[in-house]
Amino acid sequence: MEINTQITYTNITSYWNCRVRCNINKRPNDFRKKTEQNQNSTENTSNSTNSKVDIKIDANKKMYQVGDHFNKHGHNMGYNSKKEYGDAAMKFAKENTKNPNARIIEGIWNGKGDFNDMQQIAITNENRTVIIDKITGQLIDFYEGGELRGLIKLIQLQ
Amino acid sequence: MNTLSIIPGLSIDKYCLNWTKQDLIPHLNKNYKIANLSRSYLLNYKQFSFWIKQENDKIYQIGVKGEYAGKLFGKIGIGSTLSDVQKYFGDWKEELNIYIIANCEGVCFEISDNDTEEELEQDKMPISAIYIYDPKDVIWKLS
Repeated sequence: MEINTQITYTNITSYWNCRVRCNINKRPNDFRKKTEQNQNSTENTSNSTNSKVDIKIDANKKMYQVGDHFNKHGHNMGYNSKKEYGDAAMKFAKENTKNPNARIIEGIWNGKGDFNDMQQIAITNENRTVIIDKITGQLIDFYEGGELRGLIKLIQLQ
Repeated sequence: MNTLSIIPGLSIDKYCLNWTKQDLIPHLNKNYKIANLSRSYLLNYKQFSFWIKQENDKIYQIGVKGEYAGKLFGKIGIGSTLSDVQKYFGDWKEELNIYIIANCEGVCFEISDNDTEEELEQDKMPISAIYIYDPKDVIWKLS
């Protein structure tokens, strides 16, 4: 069994280049899907499993910037309200922390702002991903696809 | 002289990017807390947060939030909106969950979320935190 597999993530550069080119203020709802998805971001990883992944989820905290994330992703994912979207994210996170088929990756947030340099957990299953703050257990994002933009030093936990 | 000011890529009030922790500490009283992050220390002091690289002990990001009263070039502070940013500085854009000014590097914003079920209108929500950083710092390169 191999755990803590370091992942090489090289395609993030195209994301940055694209964002610079687009210089967006108001984005179409499908912007992320069209320009930022990178399904191959972990294609070079080796499979690893860890049945003892212990992930903290704080069900009492609302998703960070849930309104903003709902605008970006929630509509396209078929949710009609922030609550519906937030509840679905929580359900997805709870279910898939225990799902042996889910891909679970730990990384460091390299974006600017409050979360800079903090550890986050990404859980992906059936082309959806939820991001969780590792220390506090607060949900941070929930979106379609398996792209892990902004995360560096990725380690596959499961 | 008004010492409350946010200067992109340089300083917030008297606190400067690239100061070492030893430069910073004498300017604080004892009520600060330090947490270890992955590659940095996070020092929280009143409304300020300082991200300090472990490798060279230098500050690479400074953030303010809460009751902080200083403003970016005297115009944009906590509670301002992205509409205000547009009015005074031109286009803004989102970058990895924060907001930056298209023509002004070295500063970014976080906005508050509303607590209602109404659609969030980004440009009308109050700015809840402001950060400065050196945009050329290698730490921002994704690798």
